[in-house]
Amino acid sequence: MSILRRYIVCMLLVALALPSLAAETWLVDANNTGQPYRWPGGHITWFAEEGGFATLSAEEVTTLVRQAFAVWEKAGIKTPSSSVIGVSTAQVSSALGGKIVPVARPSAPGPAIETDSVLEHVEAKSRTIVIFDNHGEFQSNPSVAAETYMGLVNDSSMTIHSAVAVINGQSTIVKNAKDLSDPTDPSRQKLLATLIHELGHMYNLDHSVLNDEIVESSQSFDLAPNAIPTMYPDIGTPLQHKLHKDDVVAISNLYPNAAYLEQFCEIAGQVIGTDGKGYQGAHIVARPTFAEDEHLGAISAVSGNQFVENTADGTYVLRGILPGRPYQVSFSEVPSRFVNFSSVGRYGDDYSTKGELPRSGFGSGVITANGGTMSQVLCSEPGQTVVMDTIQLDVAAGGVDPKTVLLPGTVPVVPVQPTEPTTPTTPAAAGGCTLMIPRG
Amino acid sequence: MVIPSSLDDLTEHADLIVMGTVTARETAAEPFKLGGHIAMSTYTLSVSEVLKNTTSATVEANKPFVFRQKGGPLPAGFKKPIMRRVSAVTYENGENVLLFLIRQGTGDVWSPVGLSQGKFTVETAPDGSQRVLNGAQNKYLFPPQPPVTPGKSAAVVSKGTAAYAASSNGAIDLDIIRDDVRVKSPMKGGAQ
Repeated sequence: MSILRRYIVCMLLVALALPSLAAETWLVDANNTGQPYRWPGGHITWFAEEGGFATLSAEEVTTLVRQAFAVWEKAGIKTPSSSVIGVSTAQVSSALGGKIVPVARPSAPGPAIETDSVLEHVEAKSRTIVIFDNHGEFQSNPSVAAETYMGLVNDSSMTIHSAVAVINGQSTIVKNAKDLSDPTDPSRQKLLATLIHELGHMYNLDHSVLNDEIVESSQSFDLAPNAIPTMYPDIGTPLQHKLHKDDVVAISNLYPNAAYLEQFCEIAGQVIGTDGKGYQGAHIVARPTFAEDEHLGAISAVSGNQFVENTADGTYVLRGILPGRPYQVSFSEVPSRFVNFSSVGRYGDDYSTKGELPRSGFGSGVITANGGTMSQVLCSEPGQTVVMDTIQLDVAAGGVDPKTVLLPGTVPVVPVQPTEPTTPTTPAAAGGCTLMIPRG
Repeated sequence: MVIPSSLDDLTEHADLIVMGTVTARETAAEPFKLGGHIAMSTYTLSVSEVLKNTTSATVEANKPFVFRQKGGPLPAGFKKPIMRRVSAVTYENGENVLLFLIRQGTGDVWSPVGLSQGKFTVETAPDGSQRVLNGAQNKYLFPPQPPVTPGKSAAVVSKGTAAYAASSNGAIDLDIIRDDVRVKSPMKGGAQ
């Protein structure tokens, strides 16, 4: 089979087989193993343009990208025994592979990458590149900060081998910046937050709408700016350049190290619909009820998020739970403004041929445990799984069926596979496929 | 990653602000410069009013405006490999819309400013008034006003802020948007 033919066939297979989008993981196994796609060894080698961005020099741009990668590489969670210093929980790394020579644009300031060469870099050379799009050649919408596209993926090994992040030089963040070189400049911090967000997509993270109710009620990000995850779909506050615990748990779920697996617990459960089948798409949140801030310590998921649609799997797992500390678990709808557009959970894809699932009208409430007798839960020892009562959503009636069913130990929890350094395999050698999927 | 946009932002950044009814749409796959293919939709809008147009494109009331935009549902059974674009904004046949569009280059490809934030659906309320709601549920249109400083008089609450606060679902009267746009970005020779 020629390379071109294999490329086309693979594109078709990927397009049909990987439509699932999840709150924490973007691409998941089409064979419903619940496993996500990952970078081999959690490592990304990236290339940057040999040029500057807006008022930033090439060196400053490279430093900024390094800084953004480092945020994910240092991601960690505070443990009960180390209230000040957290433990690193994610196993990811990065390295600058080299520079890409941009094309001069005499008519406008700043360098620009030749659009045709992107294909060569990403597909033929399996390179991951960060494009600082000075001229809006890929994205010129002033209200879009950036987009990320997956490049080469391997369906056999479920690994990612290349990607493209496009940072929009025409965005209002860049255009309104006072001094992008100043680390204290809010625009610089928003640019950094944007980069961290896009690199999160590169690592295969989806969006999170945790604590959206704060934005919803206040119409702004100012009420509790540090409560908004970096992987929130919108860039609303400079403080999004600091990872929320929800972001840390998301990256740690994909690339866990030993500490993550040994020192924390998980909360699991399932959501079913009126028909008794699993419901994919309920927003599930575990909030601490002890001294830790209920917003800062919260963790979210979307039911069924590890599985492709129409598999009627409504399970969820909330990891990174602190042992010995009480949590309250609740469910709600994904906010309507993030349905059908902003790619939260599995409802963000307007190309899907999947059947329409009931996605609203069930309101919100607390999920209990132990047959409705416990409104708060805790695990006593690290490594334990707390199983919540199954909730049945009466979507058709617009309310919640009071029936809750205790199913101890029956929720199939997908095990977390520890990340181990591996020798990257080339997609071509393993019969790989090309996939281009954008994520804002 | 999307930047929250106020009505002022949308008005300032839009090359074209137009209202009308979608009368036709067609989607096909096109090669995409970052690889693979992307769905590209062609829409026909029966224009009822033009509030702003800073481009050379001819867009007039009572005439169809044909434009292309990334994204859209491909026909069932379409087997050509595509690149999935999750952040695309789409329109339905018969949908009444108010669009804040930015031109992509110099051709016929356009995109709503702030993606879903630049697309408002227009619906007629029981009292006959027309109400509009964008893809962000009008959330960022009217930023909250700063708290009152002691000794200083409170800022006047804008019509839009008051209307949004009074709305049960965020939808506000079309005239509020229309009046605001006309003040901020008056059409030469008046609106069409």
